[in-house]
Amino acid sequence: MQHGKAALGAKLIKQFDAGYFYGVIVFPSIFYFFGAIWTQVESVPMGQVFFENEKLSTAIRANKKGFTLTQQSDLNLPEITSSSVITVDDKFYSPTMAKSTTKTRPFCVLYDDGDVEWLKPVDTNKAVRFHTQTGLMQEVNNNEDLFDILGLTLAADLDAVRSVYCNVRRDIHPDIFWHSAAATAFQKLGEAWEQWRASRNPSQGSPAPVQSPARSEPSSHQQANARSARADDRATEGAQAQAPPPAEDNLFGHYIHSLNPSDPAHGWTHALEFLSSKELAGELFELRDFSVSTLTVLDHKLHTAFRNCLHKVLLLASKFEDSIRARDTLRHLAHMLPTLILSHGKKVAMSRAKAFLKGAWKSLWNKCRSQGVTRQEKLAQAPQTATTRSTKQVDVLAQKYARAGNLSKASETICSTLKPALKPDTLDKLKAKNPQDSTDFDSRHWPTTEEMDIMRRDNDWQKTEVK
Amino acid sequence: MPYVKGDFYEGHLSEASGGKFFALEKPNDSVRPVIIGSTWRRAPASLSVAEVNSDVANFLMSTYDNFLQFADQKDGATRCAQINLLIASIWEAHDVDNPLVVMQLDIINAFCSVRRQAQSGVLAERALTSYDNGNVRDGDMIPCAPSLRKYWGYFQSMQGHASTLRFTDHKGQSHPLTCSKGGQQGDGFETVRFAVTIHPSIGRVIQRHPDCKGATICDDIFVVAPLQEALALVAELKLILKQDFNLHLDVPKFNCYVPGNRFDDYQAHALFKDTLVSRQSLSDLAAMDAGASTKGLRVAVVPIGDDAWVTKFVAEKVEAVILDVGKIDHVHRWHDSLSHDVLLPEHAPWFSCPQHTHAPYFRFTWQLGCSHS
Repeated sequence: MQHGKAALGAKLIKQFDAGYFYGVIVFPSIFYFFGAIWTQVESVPMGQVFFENEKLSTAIRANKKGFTLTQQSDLNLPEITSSSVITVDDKFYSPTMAKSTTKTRPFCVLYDDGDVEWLKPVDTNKAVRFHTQTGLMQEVNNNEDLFDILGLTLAADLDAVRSVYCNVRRDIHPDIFWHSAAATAFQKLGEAWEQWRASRNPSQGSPAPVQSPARSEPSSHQQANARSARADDRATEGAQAQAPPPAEDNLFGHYIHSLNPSDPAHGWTHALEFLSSKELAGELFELRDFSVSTLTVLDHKLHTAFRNCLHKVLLLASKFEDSIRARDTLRHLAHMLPTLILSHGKKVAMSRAKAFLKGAWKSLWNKCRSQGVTRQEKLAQAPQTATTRSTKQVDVLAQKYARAGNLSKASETICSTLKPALKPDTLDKLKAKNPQDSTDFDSRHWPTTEEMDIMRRDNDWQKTEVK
Repeated sequence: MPYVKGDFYEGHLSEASGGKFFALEKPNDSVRPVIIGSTWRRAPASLSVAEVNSDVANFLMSTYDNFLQFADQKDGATRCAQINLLIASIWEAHDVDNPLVVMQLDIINAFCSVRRQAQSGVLAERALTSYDNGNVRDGDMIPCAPSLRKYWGYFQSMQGHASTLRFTDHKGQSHPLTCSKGGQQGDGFETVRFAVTIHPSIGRVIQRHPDCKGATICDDIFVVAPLQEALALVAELKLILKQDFNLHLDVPKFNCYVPGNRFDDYQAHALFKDTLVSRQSLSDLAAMDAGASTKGLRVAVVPIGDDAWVTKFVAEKVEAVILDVGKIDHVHRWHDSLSHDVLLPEHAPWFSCPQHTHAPYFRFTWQLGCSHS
């Protein structure tokens, strides 16, 4: 079961008038026909069992989706099967089968007090996430040491700690976790992080990338209230020139704060925040885990749209002269553009390019991710085998390469008899062919940064750059 | 320019220097690892290589009197074969007991196995430890092509730490593998980097054996020398390559070509084995069971040898090409201008040039791009 996602068996918390209730997502068939969604059907095939029930008819008229156990007993329904049909206002309704589309199918939730509720996927996800967030908050409140809070062992390195810390901090942030105790837990977590970082390297300042004095990184005491400061900023965008420094948890904070609402890049504010959160969480390269094929032949319109996206991202990257981390993150985004935009058909690619320009990076990212996960799941059930391509496949692929101008690869596709190694032991064989060595290099005689800078100022290098 | 200058955030370097990892099946149930680096990396690397090419070629061809490296040069394989053939043509001047031979040496998993510390030392032009069995000491100068220094940022960012390679298995699961040794063959700079790294070590050894001459293309090392001197050189080279770079010569896979008509294959092999066992200093090569041939040898993909052997070799290759051309031919039904006329020169560049289709040219134009069209 995926952590924090609505899935069978996932636990959740939902707030009702009487307070918070714990529930679990159960297999719907147990309650399906009783708490069913009744869907109107055009025609009734032979063999259906008609029944009448005034209370259920009333509920259907009111478009009521779920019934508690108490309500079900009140309904006094006959034995319902998948063949049951009820007539309401001369229309036929039958219980929706479990195989209806997953995007619209509600989740069946059984609460601790025995109540059953049908929740929309979006509400279920929220409730499941709320449960996860509550658990994290309890961990923060119940522990003092950062490693205990994060559930890490002492062997975890800086990157691992930072990644888990960023995830937890994001999950319990008071802006998105609406719980009365969230602010306290968030503050406590921040203090634990600072304490650990200070103990790790007392002389070390902010781990943020080097910035010029004009755009220096915020000091640690400035970070504590940065989130709330940013929230205030959103409310008073007109006064952005005087805005307080951004939080350390947004690589592009300085830039975002310097933007005027009229600036075209202003539409990318949330997109940049999303990208920053991915980088800080160590998930910037996660899409590389999925092998996706991308369009290679682009028509003029799509080519122009894609070029626009690429151009804008690289242009934006060039603005971060003083922060190599931000610049590099944006460059990586540029590298990922084929995956984000061109990993589907032409029409989809066009709409994805438009969505990208509008700043819907998160949505595109998540779509690619789910696309990749779906493919992985399919392959897990039906593993690939190394087979020689059929004549038709060879033709199609060779034409594709040739039209993209890659004649060498087209020729190779037609003539090569090599097959990819797709056996269970391939990984071990590759590991054996990939020997390891220490990367703790002796760099005494390596050219220094200053030497390289001097070299790059001479004529020879200048000519190289011009070329 | 970020790749050229090494302008990366340190936390991203392992990914920037990594790539997609997959494998092709080899007939012997082994795998051929292939790494596909990012286009963003390969494009500037290729341009940079084009920029340094002549300087590197000058360095590789002029540093040592009796050792040439043809890596990354236009028609390098052909020229390497020509040089080997030229030197071997004076076989008659050598004694029957110690005939002139062309020895082909093979390095196991060469590109993936070079010690990166040694590689960075060569590129920085300073020894970072003792090399060449103590002849080069820590801090000594090491010769390198001067133009490569400009690209130190590239080398440092791509090889100064472990990189992440991603292999996707048959079930679609991605496995990140660490790469902390050697380089990646898909990298435009890799051939140059490998060649300049091993060049000083091999050059120093061959220089100590004035009767031997070496002509090498990348990791294919060819030694032309009288048999006894050649074996002595190979024994020393095996030791030095292991010490300096952790590179292992694949002794059982060595090939030996004895030019001339004084021996048949059996006699040549017997002479070879006798010479090997007669010297204690060659015990390191005991596993050597070289395929001794008096007919010919393949230098990279170019055949050298007697006319009959070369003609047979070329005939076989031509048959294979004809087969491939037949495969390309069936795509003539493509409804646009893409036809086998486009792909054919791509596959066999000399096919479209009448001046290259007669036999004498085959010997040295096997890899030659047609310049007459």
